[in-house]
Amino acid sequence: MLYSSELIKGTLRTIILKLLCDQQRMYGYEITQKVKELTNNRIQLTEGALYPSLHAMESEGLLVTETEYIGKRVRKYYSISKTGKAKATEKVNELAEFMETMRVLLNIDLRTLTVQ
Amino acid sequence: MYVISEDQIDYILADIAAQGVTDEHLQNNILDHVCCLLENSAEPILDFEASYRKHIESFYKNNLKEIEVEANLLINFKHYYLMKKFMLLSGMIGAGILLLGNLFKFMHWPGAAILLLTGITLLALIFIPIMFYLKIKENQSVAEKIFLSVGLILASAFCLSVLFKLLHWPGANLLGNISLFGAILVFSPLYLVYGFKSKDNRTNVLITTILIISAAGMLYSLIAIRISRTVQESSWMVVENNHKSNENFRSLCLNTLSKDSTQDGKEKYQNCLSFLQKSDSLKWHVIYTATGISGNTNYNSLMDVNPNDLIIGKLLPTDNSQVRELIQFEAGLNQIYGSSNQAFDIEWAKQNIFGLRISEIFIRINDIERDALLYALK
Repeated sequence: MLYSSELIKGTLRTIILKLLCDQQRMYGYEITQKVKELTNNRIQLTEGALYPSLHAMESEGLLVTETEYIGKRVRKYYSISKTGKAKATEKVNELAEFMETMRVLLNIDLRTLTVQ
Repeated sequence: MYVISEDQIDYILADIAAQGVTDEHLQNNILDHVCCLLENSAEPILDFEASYRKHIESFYKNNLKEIEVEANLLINFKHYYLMKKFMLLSGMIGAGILLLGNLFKFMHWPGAAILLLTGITLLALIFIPIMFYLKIKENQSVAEKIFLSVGLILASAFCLSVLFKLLHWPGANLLGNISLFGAILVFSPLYLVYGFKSKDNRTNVLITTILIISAAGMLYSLIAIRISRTVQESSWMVVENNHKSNENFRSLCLNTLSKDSTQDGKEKYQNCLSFLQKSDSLKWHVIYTATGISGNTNYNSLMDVNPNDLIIGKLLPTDNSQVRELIQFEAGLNQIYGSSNQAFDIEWAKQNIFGLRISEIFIRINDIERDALLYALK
């Protein structure tokens, strides 16, 4: 099952920041593949959402980049900055709290994943 | 693994640029991404171009450019939503205060001016500029930006013209004329041309254009209201009635004086005649300086002139000749009263003539005339 883009939209930055916290450096395609792999194809980041976020976070100083030439084309690697790390922790905690709140609000039993 | 040739890379890069992506970093990111997809494609690639199209089309909803637009929006518009909130807030508060100001003005309560000033300033200088700023940022084409900028300037100018009018500041009508004529002659054609580019909403564009033109037309007719003809005529009626009764009085006095056959009486009669001629020419000179109308002998020709415009020296530059005329007028009086007579002080005329209303000065001159004729009759 694929999750709707509406659900992913609000958590995209959290996903990217957390991934880059755990990995050394990644490029765009690699990020989409990693997310796919970790979620069993359930979350597929779209290019239209991924790159605007990467560019914005770079300009905000959350990410730093380095470029490498792969033959004729340029590959841009993203890694997390110091402020980005702090932001990642903040975002993950916020999401965890939000999930907990939603669990209570919607009365979801996490063990069976059914609405009671 | 499929190997992408350098020519194919050039082809992809050129295509990405042709689709409107201008940022070099984004171009490279997209290029690398699509190359990775092609290289790692599960199916064998027989037709490079078709495979490339299939992959690149999965990047967007309408066009590739939207990725750059979205990126710019996120980068430049960290405060986009904050600005939007601020815009709505300033608009609501502005409109509310404006309405309150109108109520205060209507009820003659104190504080109306400051409320109107605040309300209109909020709308004209904060709400409208932010609204257009956000709109301009959202839209990319130059034509659209020009069209929105024209709208911004005209809307702000109109708000300010209303403010100027309410506060009796100079330039209100000029601003109003510019903004309304601009809306009719510049904004609506631009809107029409721009709107007709897309086939979907031509009817709406046409309706909106009609609304803009008719609203601007109606507002213009409000601004263009001048003093009503009845008021204009009644104002002149006062002058004319004064003039008529003066004429009657003149002929009565001259008739009496002409019956005096003594040398002294004949001299008095001649003096009075020349004095009245001077008085008349002075009145018409005064009219001439205010209206540019010369050499007439009836007041009907002045009916079309707005009494508010009839201010001494308004039209023609004031010079000493008016003062000289008045001195001659005084000389005429002295011929009747004798050179040393101080009974009639016409200093007021020398001091106050500039800027006086014509009707006012006519009535004063006529008063002097009557006093002079009465004195001559004694």
